[in-house]
Order: sequence, then C-alpha cells, then structure tokens
Amino acid sequence: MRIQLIDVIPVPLSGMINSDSQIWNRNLLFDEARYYLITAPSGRGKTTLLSVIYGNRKDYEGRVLLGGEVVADMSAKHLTALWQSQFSFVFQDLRLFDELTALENIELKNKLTHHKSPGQMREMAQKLSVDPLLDRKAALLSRGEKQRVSIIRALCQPFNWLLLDEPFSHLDQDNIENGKELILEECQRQNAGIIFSSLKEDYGIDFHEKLRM
Amino acid sequence: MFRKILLSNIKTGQLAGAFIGMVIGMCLLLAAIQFYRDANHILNRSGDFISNDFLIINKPVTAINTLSGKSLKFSEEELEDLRQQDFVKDLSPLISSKFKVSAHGKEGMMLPDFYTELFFEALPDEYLDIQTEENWEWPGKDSVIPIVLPSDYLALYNFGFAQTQGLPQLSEALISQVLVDVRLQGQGKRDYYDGRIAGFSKRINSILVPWDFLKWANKKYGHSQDDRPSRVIVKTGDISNPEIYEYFEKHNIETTSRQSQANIFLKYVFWAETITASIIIVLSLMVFVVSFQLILTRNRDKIGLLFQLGYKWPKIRDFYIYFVIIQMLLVDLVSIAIFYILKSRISEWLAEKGFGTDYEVQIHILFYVLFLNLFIIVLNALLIQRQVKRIVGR
Repeated sequence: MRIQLIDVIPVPLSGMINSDSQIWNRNLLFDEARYYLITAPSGRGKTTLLSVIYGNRKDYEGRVLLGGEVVADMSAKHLTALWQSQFSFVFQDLRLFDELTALENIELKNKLTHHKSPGQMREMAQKLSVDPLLDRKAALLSRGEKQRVSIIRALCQPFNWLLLDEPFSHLDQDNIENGKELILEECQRQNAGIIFSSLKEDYGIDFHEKLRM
Repeated sequence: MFRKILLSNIKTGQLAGAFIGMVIGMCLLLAAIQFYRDANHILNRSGDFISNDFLIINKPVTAINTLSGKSLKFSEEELEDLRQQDFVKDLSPLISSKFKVSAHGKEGMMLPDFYTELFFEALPDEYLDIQTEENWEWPGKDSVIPIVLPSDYLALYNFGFAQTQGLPQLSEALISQVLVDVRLQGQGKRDYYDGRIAGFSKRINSILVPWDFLKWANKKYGHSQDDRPSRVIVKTGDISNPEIYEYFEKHNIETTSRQSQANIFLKYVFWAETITASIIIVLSLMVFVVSFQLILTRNRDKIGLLFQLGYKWPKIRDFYIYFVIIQMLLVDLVSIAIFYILKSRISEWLAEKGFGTDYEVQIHILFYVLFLNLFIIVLNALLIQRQVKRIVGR
C-alpha cells in the first residue's frame, strides 16, 4: 500500500515550515516495503507526520492518500480495519495501559488478530530482556522497559507499514541492537515498509531514503 | 482486560450514591403505584355499580325552590351546556317512574309480611357495573323485574328495623333468592309483576330497575310525558378535576357521590407520592448519568488508545452500555426485594388492623419497572455513544 502526501501542512506548524523541508508542503511518495528515515530536531512535527499518516489527526492542509484513498475521508470502521492489519505504530509516548501487566498489554493487541502465539510473544520478550517483567504492572516499569514492551506490542499484528516514533530513545546499545533485529526480521517476514523518526541517528539501519523535515 | 481498563477511575462513592438514590426512587414509585391500586381496590370492592369516574348530580332542594315551585329538573339546554364541558365524556339522565309502584311480600317466601310504596329509577346499562349482568336483564313484559337497592337499605333493615321488631335478619344472598309482588298502577291500569332483588349498590342511592323496563312501563302506566330528568349521571375522565366542581358551584348543581371525596384525597396522595418518587428518580438518574459521563471523561485517553490500537469504537460503547444494564438490573433487584419485604410487612400490619389487602405484589408493577429501565438504559446508551464517538474523534 503506497502512502502519498500532497502539499501537507499541519495547522499547528503553518508559518513555521522551512522551505527546504523534504516533507511538508511537497508531493511525497512512500513506496511499498521500503524503509524511510525522517530526521528532525524536537518540535518539527515528527510525531505529527506519523499521526497524520496513521489517520489519527485531521488538523492539516493538503491530502494524504493510503493506497489511493483519502485518509481524512475514511470511516472509523475502515480505519479500524487498517489499524488491525495494515499499520502498526510504536508511539513515542509509549502509551501502555498502566493498570495492565506488560504481558496483558501485549496480549491486548495480539487478541485482535491472534498474529503471534503465546510462545512467540514470550520469545520476543526474552530477546528484549523483559521476560522477567511480563507479569508486572506497566505502571511499575521504567521508561526503557516500557519502550521495549511497546515495540513487542506493535509487532503482534499483521502490517504493511510499521511506523516507529523515536523507538530507541530510552534504550541502551544492546537493547537497540536486539530491537533492531526483531523489527527488521518481522518487517522482512511481512514484506512491510518502515517509517522511522529520529532526532538524528540512523542506528545503522539500511534506509532506502532519508528525509529531513 | 476491558473491565480493568475501562472501569478504572471509578469513584465508588459517587456511583454508590446514584445507586442508592435510584433504589429509593424506584421503591417510592413502586409503592405509589401499589398504594393507588390497593386503595382503589378497597374502595371498589363488592357491590359497586359505578366506577370512579362517574358522578350523579342533581339540583339542591331548598326552601325557596319548594315555595316558589321552581323546577328541580334539568332542561335540555342545561344538559347540552353540560355536554359541551371538557370534563364531561358522556352523560345520561336517570329516568324515574311516572306511575304508582308498590311492593308486598309474596306468600311462601319466608319474608315477613310487608307492604311499601316505591319508586323506580333507571340508567343506561353502560353506566352499570358488569357484576350485575347475569341477572340484570328484562327480556319482556311478563318477566321478573330485577331491582337494585342501595345497600344502606339492607343495613337499616337488619340493624334498625329487624332488631326492634323482632324480625329475622337477612343476608344479601338470601334476599336475592326471594320474589316480591310488585304492583304498577296508572292510566287506569293495575297489574302485578314478580320482582327480584338483583343486588345492592353502595354508590347509587336509589331503587334501580333496567332501563328498557322503565321506558316500557312509563309508556304504559305513566301519567306525564315530561322527560326532563331531575338526576343526571356524568362520566368524567378524572373525578378529581377541580373544573368540575367550579362548574357545579356556578350552576348550582349538587353531587351526591360519596366516593368522590375519598377518591380526590387518594388521587392527591397518589400524585404527591408519584411526584416525590419521580423527583428522586430524576435526581438520581442525573447523578447516575453524570457519574457515567465522568467515568468516560476520566478514561478518555484509554478509550482513545484502545481505538488507535485497532479496537472498534462500538465495542467500547457496548462495554459501557452492558455496564449500565447490569447496574440497572441490580437496582431493580434490590428495589423489588426491598419493596416486596416492606409491602408484605405493611399488608400484615393492615390485616391486623382489619384491612385485608392482597399480599401479592402485582405483576404489572414489573411493567413499570421495565419501562423505566428501558428509558434509563436508552438515555445512557445515547449519551455514551455520543461521548465515545467524540473521544475517538468521529
């Protein structure tokens, strides 16, 4: 599913956009199964871009097309279907349910499509060293631990695109390497594309295209 | 998991308050309905020929009227004016006999020998209670004449006359077995008929015979063709409507219905109770609705996140609606249980004091509960839907 941005300017950023931005106010195409890196300092709208593509925000000028369809016109039902099987999102603010355990947070996502078996979920947790924490309430996890749980959660569904919003911001080098491996493995298996936002770094991933905001 | 997520941030105290309020309101409402039915039941027991919404009216007899010879009959214009009133659904004159009537005991009928002069009145069958139907027919001129007496007559006879004269006391059942000779006299004719007491009326202070019979007899024996009635029966929608009594006062009309006063009082009590119950229900409903809206507002991030993870928003809405339904069922169970216990206690107490009521909580009361539930659930469902949609940005 191709993603197309046509002259998109988020309302909160209007008037603050650099003319050399490779994202805003241009005709931009994200091709299937390719990896894109978006870099910008804080506050330039990385999260906004991902939310606009995800269909989460409507406060922008211009048009966003997902597979040729205008995302702003999609019904809630249509979007829900997309979110279940086409788009997965690792939110920058992690967004776990504090009252659930780490495992329950992952299962909540997996329950929608039963994409992974309990064994696979546990394996992924082992890979990111959060398996001893699976039965702990999310409220009691550190930011780094939460970040790893939310990466696992995002991988527990079929998707065509994986949107990663600064997914390694709280991880140490080992966990970054493991996380990278887990993500790329799953993307290859699903033949999915990546849109990855970062302050600067590319974490050694072979991006097909790197765009500055 | 949904329960853990979507019901977090519940203020238990608030919800409990709304719950208790609803239970109290519901109990009061049930009590009001039950009270009204019981009271009506007591008032309307046996021998009632006319239900609550009928009034019998006449013009007052005063010295001036008598001396001046002013007519106490209703003219056609007066009846027409009455008919035009909003509170009058229907009316009919009571016709009275225009010939001499007397009755005396028949031989071999166990009755003490008696002789009395009488009069008859009649009203159309639809103003009469069904109970009399089976023996309230007058098929033709040689048949037995059914007669209805005011029950006071029987009481006067049994407790006054019979005791002082050393005569036997008579029950309603016994009397209705007995035939009396009725003599009709007028227009130069004098004929004898069999008469039978068909029942006793608590409401109508008159001696009633079937309408068809009196029409026929008036034609045959009657001395005058003056059809103007002196008593009229009026069917109203609501006997406690004050307009009725204002109109009567203005037009110098009296009503003799003894039941109307008690009824008006009962209606006031019923309405006072219903209104109190309604206010409590409305207030607790508001608290209930508001606490739900607050739960949703406090959980707006969670609802939004569930939606963004790929959960259908109607599923989230339905979860909350089920929660409301469960709450309502609990309210019903608790209120019906409390009501039932109170009701049987009160009935027992009343029975001890000599007012037997039926112990059963009437089934149709559940109908009101159901109706109220539906209303509350639908109202909440609509509000929940609106808010969930707003939260997910649809």
